This record gives sequence, C-alpha cells and structure tokens, in this order.
Amino acid sequence: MKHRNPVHAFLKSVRAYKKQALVFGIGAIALLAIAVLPLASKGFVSTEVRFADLSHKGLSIVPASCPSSPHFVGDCTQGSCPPGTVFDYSTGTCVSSCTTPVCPGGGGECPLGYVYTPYGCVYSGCPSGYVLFGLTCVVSSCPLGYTFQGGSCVFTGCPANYVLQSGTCVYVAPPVCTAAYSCVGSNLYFTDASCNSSLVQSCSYGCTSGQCNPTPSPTIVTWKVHPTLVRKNDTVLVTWEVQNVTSCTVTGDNGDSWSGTSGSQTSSPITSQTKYTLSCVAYPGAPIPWVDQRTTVSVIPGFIEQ
Amino acid sequence: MSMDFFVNLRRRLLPVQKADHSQLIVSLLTAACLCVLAVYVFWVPLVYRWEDFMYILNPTPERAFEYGERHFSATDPKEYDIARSHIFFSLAARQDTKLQYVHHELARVFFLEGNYQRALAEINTQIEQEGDKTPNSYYIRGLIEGFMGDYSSSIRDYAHFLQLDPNDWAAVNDYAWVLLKDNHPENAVNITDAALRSFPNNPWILNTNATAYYEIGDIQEAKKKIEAASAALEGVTETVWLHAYPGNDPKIARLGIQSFRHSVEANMHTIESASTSTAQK
Repeated sequence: MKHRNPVHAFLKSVRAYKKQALVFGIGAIALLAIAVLPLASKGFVSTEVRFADLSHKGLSIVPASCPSSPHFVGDCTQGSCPPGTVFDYSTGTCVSSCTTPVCPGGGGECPLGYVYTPYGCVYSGCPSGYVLFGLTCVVSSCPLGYTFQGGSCVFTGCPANYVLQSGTCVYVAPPVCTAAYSCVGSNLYFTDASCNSSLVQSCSYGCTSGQCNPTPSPTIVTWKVHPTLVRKNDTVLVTWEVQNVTSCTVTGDNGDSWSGTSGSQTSSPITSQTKYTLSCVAYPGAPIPWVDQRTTVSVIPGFIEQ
Repeated sequence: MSMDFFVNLRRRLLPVQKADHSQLIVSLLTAACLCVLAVYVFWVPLVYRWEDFMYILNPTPERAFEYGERHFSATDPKEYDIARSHIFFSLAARQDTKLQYVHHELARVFFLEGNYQRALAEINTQIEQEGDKTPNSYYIRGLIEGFMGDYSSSIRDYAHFLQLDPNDWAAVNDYAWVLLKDNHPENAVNITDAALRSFPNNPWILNTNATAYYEIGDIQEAKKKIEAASAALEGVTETVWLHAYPGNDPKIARLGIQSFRHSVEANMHTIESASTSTAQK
C-alpha cells in the first residue's frame, strides 16, 4: 500500500533502518577524523620554509619573502626615509649611499644595464646584443670579420667577397669573366670565369692568339755551288744558309767538309765530277726532322790531238 | 574468518528484503546528510561558519578578499588556513578581476603551494593592471622568477623594485641571491655591503654578503661576515621570522628558523675550512 504523505513515508524509512544509519554515520565521522586530524595539527609547510639555494661555490643562500604582503609594506624597512635615501644605522639618519659621479647631482648617468637607486647604480640586466663582462655591458655581437675576445671585438679577417675599408668589411660584387687563354709576350695564360689568371706555360717559339707557336720547320734560304762546270783543278764556291735547324754539314765527294747553319767556302781543286751535299737537322718536334740538298760539279773534258 | 562470517555480518547489519531497498537508501542518505551537518556544526570553527553565512548573505568580491586576507595572516596561528584563503581569493578574482591586489595575493598563494607557473601568471596579470602602483608585486615576481631559475628576469624585477623602495632589506638580500646565481658576485658584494650600512645586524644580508665575498675569493671577509650572521641569528625569534616570511603558517616558524640556522652553520663550516687551507698555504 503506497503512502500518500511523502513526509510520513520518509520518516518511516528512517525509523525502519535507524540502526544501520547510525553505524554508517559513526563510521563516516571516524574516517573523516582520521583523514583530517593529522593535517590540521602539523601546519602547512610552504615551498620557501626550507629553501636554500646553492651558490656556484656551494654556499647556501637564503632568500627572504618580505614585503610580499600588501599589509606588510614597510615591515622589512629600517626607519622611514624619504624617497631617494636609505637609513644609515651608524649615523641614525637617512642618507644616499650613492657616492659615484653617476648619482643624481653627480652630472653623469648610470652605465648601460644599470639603474639608479640610493645604493648607487645597481645592475638590472644588459640590453639585447650586450653581455656583462666584469661589471660592464659590452657588445656581444661583433661586426662582420670581428670576433669577441677578452671583452672586445678583435678583427680576424673579412670573409670571401668582402674587403676591409676603414675598419669595416664591405661587400664587393665578384667580377665576371669569360674563361679564355691569352698571350703575354712568349707566355701563355688562362683566365677563369672569376677573372683569376694563371700562367700555363712559357712558349719556346712564341705565343700567338692564345696558343703557343708550333715548332718551325727547317727552311733552306740559300744553297749555291758556283760554277757547276769547271776546268780541271779549278775550285768552286759553296754558299749555304739554313734557318730553324740545330746543325748543318756540307760534304763533297772529294773530301771537302764544312759545318754550320750558314757559310761560304771555296772548295778544293776539282779534278773530277764532284757531288756536294748539304744536310741539316731540324728542331725537336719539327714537322720535318731533317733537310738536305745536292749539287754536282762537272769537269770540262780535255781533248788530245793525234 | 570465513566468508560465512561476512555474510552473517551483512545480514545482521542490513537485514533487508529486496522490496525494502528504497527505504534503506533513503535512510543511509539521511544519515550522511546528518553527519555532514554534525561535522560542520561541531568541527569547523565558529568563525568559518560565520564567514560562510555572511558571504552567502552578501557575496561581494571585497568580502571574499577580506576573508582571504584573514586566513592568510602569519600573525594568528588559529586563523591561518591557506586552503581557505585560496578559495576566497579565487572567489574574489572571479567576481572582480580588477580588484586591487587580488592577483597579487593569488600569486602568493600559488607560490607558497609550489605552483610557480600559476603564480607567475597571476603576478603578471597584477603588474599589467597596476604596474608601479603596487610596487611589491615586482618583488613577488622577482621571487617567483628566482625560484623558477629565471635569474636574469628576476634581477630586472628586483632592481626595479629597489628603485621604488630601496629601504627594504629583504629585497636587497633576494636581489643579491639572484645576482650570485647569475654569476655576478661583484655586484652582489657591492649591494650587500651598501645594505649593511642600514641593516648591520641582519642575518640574512650578512649570510648573503659572506657568500658573495666567498665567491670572489675574499675568504677573510667572508669569515668575518658569516660569524656575524651566526651571532645575529640568535636574535631571530618566531615573530621576526614570520615578518620575514609573511604568508607562511605560524605553526612552522620554528622549522623555518632551524633550516636557516643549518644553512648558516654549513656555510660557516665551509668558509672556515677554506680559511684554514689558505692560512696553511
């Protein structure tokens, strides 16, 4: 049978299982007490309570935390000093600790990276492009061709396509050339696309139009035996001149022999038909390795009457 | 114990028939609600219940901020409850994101809980909104950045704060801390020397000054300063410590002083060993 009154139904439910509800409730309270009590009694240990930071050489630095609260402003101060001053314990007065020329009234400014306080100029960080070297902010990025060494920028050389002008590396557009051979006197040179010239070789026989001249062939300028018909015991004149050879010899059947690339010689008395030969050796590498010429001298016959 | 034991126990505690299941559930839920109510009435402090009641009546961001501040105070151990202050500060920020100092306080809470990323986000919001009007927000940001290892940013923020309020010894001490971590010991020596003219017996500054001198190799001066720090540490009471670390639970102040003392003792041992080695040479 359903109860129309929900309150009555509710109360009936509770009364029906009051023992179970009591056990459940006591258990819940006990669990809550076990969970919360230990936390409540110990206190909250924040991150800064045991914090000590090690210096570079291993000593412990202990930062404080005052005045972190808006209501404790002034709690970590000593005395109440006007702006720009600090309390000096030894004199019991408010003074500016600033004693350098950069302090207000000193006529100067704090160095780069420093801000003024009554303690003096305090470091607040070098601007971008600078690094602290000792107590001074110096340029960390050096110009092209310079390297940061020992607190300053030192010139170490301009890169390719740059030249030093008034202490600065200036870009110079690289030249453009057509690669080719050329002659300078008897020397053959090669110039590349970057206009760099280099000696290829010294030409033995001269240089023309970007090429070494080839080894010349021998040339017989003169070869004359005069006269070629003589009376017995007469002599003849042998004349010769040859170019582009290393040596020449002129020999006759009658034993005559001369040398030289040119000459003019009188022969021995011709007693019979005599052949004179010119023979020359060309330069190494010449197209024709040697040359020769021959001329025969005849004797006029004598008649005997009977 | 056999399975029968548990079955009999269940039958004894929950002798229900299938048709009675709905009545059992109602009964158990009622018991749970009554338990929660009993815990709330008898366990939670009266002031909490009053705050909850007043806030429900009038849920303004200013009220939430006020309650957050009350439970973030290092002066009263009974009132300190960082979890509760976190809740109220979050409520205040949600209702009015431009309420002065709300992001500053949330940053402090996140910082103390160790959530540095969230702390930095909150303090950046604070500084974007208020800038130099809340100068100690720069101090907090410097502190968070220092804990995160971003020393160059921390240096910048501490230097800016010192321009606005140079008469604060903790700012000088912490500024010197990040200078040392960023490898600028000469600057750390200069600033702590200057601060000691105003705070000659401050153990934090003396310890940091000793460390700075040790870093630049002046062992004798480091020894003199660490001995002074150790002597000055005797005057650090729980009240003094809680002034140096507001926002921390007063119940753990003794723990904080012990930790500080251990650091100074360790430093003294290291410096004295170095001093002896130098003397022998």
